[in-house]
Amino acid sequence: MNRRDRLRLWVVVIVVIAALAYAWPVVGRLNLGLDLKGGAHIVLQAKDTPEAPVGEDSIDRLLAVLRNRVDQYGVAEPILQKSGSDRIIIDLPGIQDPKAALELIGKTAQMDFREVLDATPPAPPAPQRENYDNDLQFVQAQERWQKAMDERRDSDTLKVRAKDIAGAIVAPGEDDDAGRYYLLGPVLLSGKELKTAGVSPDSLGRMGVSLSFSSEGAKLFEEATGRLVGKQIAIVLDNVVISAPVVQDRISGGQAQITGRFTPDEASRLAIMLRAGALPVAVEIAENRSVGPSLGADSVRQGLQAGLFGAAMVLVFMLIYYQFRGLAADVALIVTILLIFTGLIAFRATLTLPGIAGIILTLGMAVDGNVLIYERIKEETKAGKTPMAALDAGFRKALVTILDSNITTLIAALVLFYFGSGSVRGFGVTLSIGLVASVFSNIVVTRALLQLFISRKGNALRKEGSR
Amino acid sequence: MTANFNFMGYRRPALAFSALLIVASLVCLFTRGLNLGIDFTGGNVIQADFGERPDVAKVREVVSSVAAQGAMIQNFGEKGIIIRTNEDTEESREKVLEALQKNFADMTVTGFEKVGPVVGGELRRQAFIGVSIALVAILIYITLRFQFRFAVVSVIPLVHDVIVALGFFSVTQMEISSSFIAAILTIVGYSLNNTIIILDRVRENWSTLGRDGIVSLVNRSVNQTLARTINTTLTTILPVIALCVWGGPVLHSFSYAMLVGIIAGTWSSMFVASGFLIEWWLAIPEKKR
Repeated sequence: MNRRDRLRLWVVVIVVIAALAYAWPVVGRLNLGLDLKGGAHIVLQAKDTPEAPVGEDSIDRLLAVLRNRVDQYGVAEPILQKSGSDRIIIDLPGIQDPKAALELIGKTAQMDFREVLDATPPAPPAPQRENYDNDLQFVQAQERWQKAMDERRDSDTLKVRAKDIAGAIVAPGEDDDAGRYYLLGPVLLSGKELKTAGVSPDSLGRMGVSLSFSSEGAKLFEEATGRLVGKQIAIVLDNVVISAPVVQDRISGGQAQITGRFTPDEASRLAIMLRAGALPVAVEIAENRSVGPSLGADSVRQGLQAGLFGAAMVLVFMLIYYQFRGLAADVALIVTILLIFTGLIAFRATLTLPGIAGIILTLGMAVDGNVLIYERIKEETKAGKTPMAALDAGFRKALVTILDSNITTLIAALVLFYFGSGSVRGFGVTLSIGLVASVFSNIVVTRALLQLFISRKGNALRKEGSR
Repeated sequence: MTANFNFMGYRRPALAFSALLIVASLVCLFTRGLNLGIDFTGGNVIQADFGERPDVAKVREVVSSVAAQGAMIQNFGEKGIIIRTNEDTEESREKVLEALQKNFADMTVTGFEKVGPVVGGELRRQAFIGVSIALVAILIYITLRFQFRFAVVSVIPLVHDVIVALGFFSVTQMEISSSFIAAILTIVGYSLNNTIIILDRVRENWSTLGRDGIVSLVNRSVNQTLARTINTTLTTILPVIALCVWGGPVLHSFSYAMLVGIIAGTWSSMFVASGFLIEWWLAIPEKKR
């Protein structure tokens, strides 16, 4: 073995150890999809309101928006289906943060920009115990504060005023702006005018959501900001004012940013909801329970057994047909499987039946790669080369074939990953990971092992080669 | 011994056979159609609670004795079960409920409802667009690495295999679930790989075109890759057969689609791709290269 060969062997050893260290234990780390493991079964009930009546059309649109949101949230292969005339069933695989997912699904996310006509003063802060000398003083302060809060009839007076202005509403402020009510003018522009939304931190490092308007929206926004320089514009989400910045200058170009009090997760959730659009009707979560695998626990067990048995048959076949080289191929195959699982864990992919189909295909191609190499080596040996020379030539010639066939398939896999959704996407993910793992196994692992074997049993191979 | 069979001598009967398969598949697809499962059609959902955690396999047995093949059955909460069948008539639901009540005394139905499809038109359209873009990307890559004709003849077997697999499901009227889409994609990937490997040999032998002629060149390439074709087909088909035999009824549409696809894929890369390449060359030989 020369230096390059020894280097190759070391690469294999290091990669395998690193993969093992990263992926072990595989059980529990691998996300399994709805079909294999089950997840949450959520039933959404659409609520009929005068502004947004429930009908066949609105339920269809609701389904489309929900699918969009769930897809963008990165949930692998959810099930979404209409149930009855006004319900939607959403099955989600086991996800990290079920509460966030519920919020993502249940929020209407109707965003409007409105002029701030008037606002109540913010509520005075509630008294804190540490600011008072004794309990009596503190209780008295609390009573005073409560009385002041009760006397605040401002939101009602705002509501009376709102009735006289066409399109005006009264909306509360959010969180630490709570207690303040805004009287807002008619909608200047709404979420429909958005082209896209993304997460971006502002200059102070706070999380914000950046908005980019359509050309129509950009025009409206420019007009509005031009007219309202020095005044406040409120950004209203589901009838709560999340931010009410003072307009400094006319804003053209159709770009804007909302900075509120977002955590990074909240910001990205809001961006997803804005991109996917508002729900056409209001919904409430009617049911939320856990479900078992949609394939049925029985089928998953049977499929697993059958799959393992099939894989064992492949290993035995290679061993019988290619003997000690078959052993190298088998080891390479096991390394491929290890690398695929490592990849799935690293990319936080969710494994489903279509994903397993992708893995079966790549394992087939991994075996195929070895077969290609071995048949080439046989040809070269027949042509009279020594074992090492035949090995080199065999690998060199098979390499082109392996690369071309794998790259072609990889192109298809990446396209399916990028453009597909649901099962098509899951298939694309595992296929892409699998192909890379398989090529590595073929041209590095198998080769290192064979060289190791040949340098040990060179004579044995020479005999076999001349047969 | 390198194999030396005169495969390409039979290319015309082989192409005719494939053409016949495709026509038969298409006729069957248009007349009988496909037996689409609940994922595509929607149907009935029944929710029931049991006295103790029920055995999914047993419930499946009872349900399939009276109604839909391929019903989706899953555990639900602690002691519940959800049954989805693709028949949305009231009678079929009554029949299922009756059979369940007879077999499980402690069962109470907690709800039933008609549901829409999981794989709606939108998803099917997306899958179609995705595959179309993938095919164009493949055509471009093969044109760059090989030549344009190779790209065309490597896509033809893909279409062939998908149509034959669909035809098989139309003839047998086996129920199609959403995992069928994944099986079809796998078939495409497998067939593509097979074809590329044979075409790769043709490319390698291309310098002998002037001496041997296209028929002999392609035939030699098919023979040189024969051992590999047989071994790889065997190793890929073994796990699929295991899935067909022991994988259980729910995986049937998936496993049988793969089985038919692998057989069709092996056949089409050996005969359809190479046969087309030869016929194309004989009809219009290219001057350069």
